Amino acid sequence: MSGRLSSTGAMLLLVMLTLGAFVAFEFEGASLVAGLSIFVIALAKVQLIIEQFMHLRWSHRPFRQVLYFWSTIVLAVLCGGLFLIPWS
Amino acid sequence: MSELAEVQGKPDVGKSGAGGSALPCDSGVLFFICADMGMFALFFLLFTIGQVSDPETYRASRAMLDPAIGLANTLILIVSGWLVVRAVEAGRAGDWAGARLRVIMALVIGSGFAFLKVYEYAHKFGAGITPLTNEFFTYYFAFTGIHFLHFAIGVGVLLVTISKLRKPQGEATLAWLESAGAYWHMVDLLWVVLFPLLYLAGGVA
Repeated sequence: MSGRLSSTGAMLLLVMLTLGAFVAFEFEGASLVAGLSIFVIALAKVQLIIEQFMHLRWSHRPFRQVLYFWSTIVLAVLCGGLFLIPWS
Repeated sequence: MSELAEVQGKPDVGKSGAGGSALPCDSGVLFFICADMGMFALFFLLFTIGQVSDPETYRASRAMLDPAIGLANTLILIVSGWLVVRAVEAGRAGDWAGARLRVIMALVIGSGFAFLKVYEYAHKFGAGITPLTNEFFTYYFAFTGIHFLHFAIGVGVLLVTISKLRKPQGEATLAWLESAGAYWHMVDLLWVVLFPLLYLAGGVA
């Protein structure tokens, strides 16, 4: 998803995404949109770590697909759970 | 772009594997990482079920956590993980002294995670919050405790890596460094999900 980044570029992007999630929490913490945004940002960070830190972007397809499947299922469950709780 | 072309386009990755299936570290370590992440996926599912059953308790409990500590721990693990990536890059270039220095820096910065986690636990216990307080805190202490155990094992692995990098033995040392790095990234990756799950998303009362 992230193309070819240097490891430093990936780290800076991870830091910015982390701060973005925190800002979303600080300003809109008690809303469904904020919760979904925070989890989508987490998914993007997971993909960045798999591709740019673990270097699986250029490597063995089965392992890469297992980790992509894991991140997609986990984030789908977490986001789905947010739809099932009441929001004021 | 084909997978082989991608591998060829990134020549410093996966030298030891066969053809387009080259791995960036030992396959056994990757199997372990996948299995471990499967276990955490079940944890996340349990937490979600609990939150759906009793959202108000979860929101009230989440309000008792300090998200700034979670944020600081996330940033610490990201920077520490980046230093390990840089160490692997240095190792692949044959710069063993540079790799060792970066692993030491990763360990020093990563130790901030342990400091903050112990501080957070002490603060919670001091306020009378324990794993028995309610279901949220049962999960909070269980998940972060198991994650902390993984972190502690990672620290041990990095210490061994520093020792091995003192007298490097070519491919064997590089393979160890790559596998240690993959494990450290798993610790980072799991926290990247734990942080929003426990501290941020789901709302606070």
